[in-house]
Amino acid sequence: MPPPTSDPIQARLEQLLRDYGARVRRLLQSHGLDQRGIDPADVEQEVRIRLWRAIERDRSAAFHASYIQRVVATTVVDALRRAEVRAAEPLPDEDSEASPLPDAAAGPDRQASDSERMDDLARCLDSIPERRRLPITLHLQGFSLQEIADSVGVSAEAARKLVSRGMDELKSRLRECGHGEFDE
Amino acid sequence: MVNSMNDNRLAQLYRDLTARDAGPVALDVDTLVAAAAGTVPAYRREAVASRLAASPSEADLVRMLAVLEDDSQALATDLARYDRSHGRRHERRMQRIAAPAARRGAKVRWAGVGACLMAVLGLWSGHRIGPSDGSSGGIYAEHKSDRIFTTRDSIFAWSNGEPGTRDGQDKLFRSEFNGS
Repeated sequence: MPPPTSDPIQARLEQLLRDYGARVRRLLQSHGLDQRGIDPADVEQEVRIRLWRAIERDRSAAFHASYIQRVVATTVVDALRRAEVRAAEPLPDEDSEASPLPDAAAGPDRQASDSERMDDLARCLDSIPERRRLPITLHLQGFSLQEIADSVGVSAEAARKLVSRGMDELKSRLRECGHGEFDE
Repeated sequence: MVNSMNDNRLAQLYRDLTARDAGPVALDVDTLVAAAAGTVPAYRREAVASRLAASPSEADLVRMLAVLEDDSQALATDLARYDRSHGRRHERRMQRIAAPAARRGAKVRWAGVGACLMAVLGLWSGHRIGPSDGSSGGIYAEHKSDRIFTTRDSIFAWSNGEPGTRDGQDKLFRSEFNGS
């Protein structure tokens, strides 16, 4: 990034990129992407630098929103890939103070139980027909009914019915696997 | 063991399951942006939706991009305004730089045109004068033989076998030379 400037137009541009970068950082945190091994501050800085370079490279170019979105997406994907590589690398020391387990406080019983539940959940989902499974899994992944409708190509009402019936079916199958109690 | 689960707990369990099994980011950036904007082509919709359902990081990114879309649009508008401001200022600066150079260029052009005109006039007037005065020693006088190359030149006279011209020549080359 360039040093602070007295040029009002340049200063305005720097302010725009600072504000946008700060917004990106807040959204990364609120969407839980900071839990996936990436540093929101690094991503913010990288987004600002990439946009700045693009503007400097071609001052006559019109920057569409989709181009800016691609810059953000590319930066986040790069950060996620770097985090994956770091996670795959061997740990430095066995007696390191840093805990390698993300949920070490949960205890072995809880972890074993979750692992068993996950396997049962995967089995139950696999037994549901694809047409119903996709809306359920999108719902469990946190997508709204409208987003599910757009993704699957149905109306919002149809998405709501698919999700509702699918979740009932999933719970029914989980009960059959011994996971019988569901709080609504 | 109590196996109590609500929808949130079920969702968390599913996200943990997919985080464990999803692997690296599989969708390309254009597809992620299109998914956030809801513009994935129909023929790819199901494949993209399946991937998003199976990958929490890609799902989070798509949802984040969907929220960010208005901010990106606002930034694009502001950048276009910046480009116009910067463009006007750049144009004015270029005009200030270009105007004296253009004036200098005009002077040089006119001087060039004048020089060409003078050269054409000079050639034309020479052409007009030359043929009308052929006997004089002007530039058209080359039709007269040069004395160096004329066959009447005394240097070549001996080899041409012209006896009249051999009289009075250097005695060194005379065949009847007797050393006196």
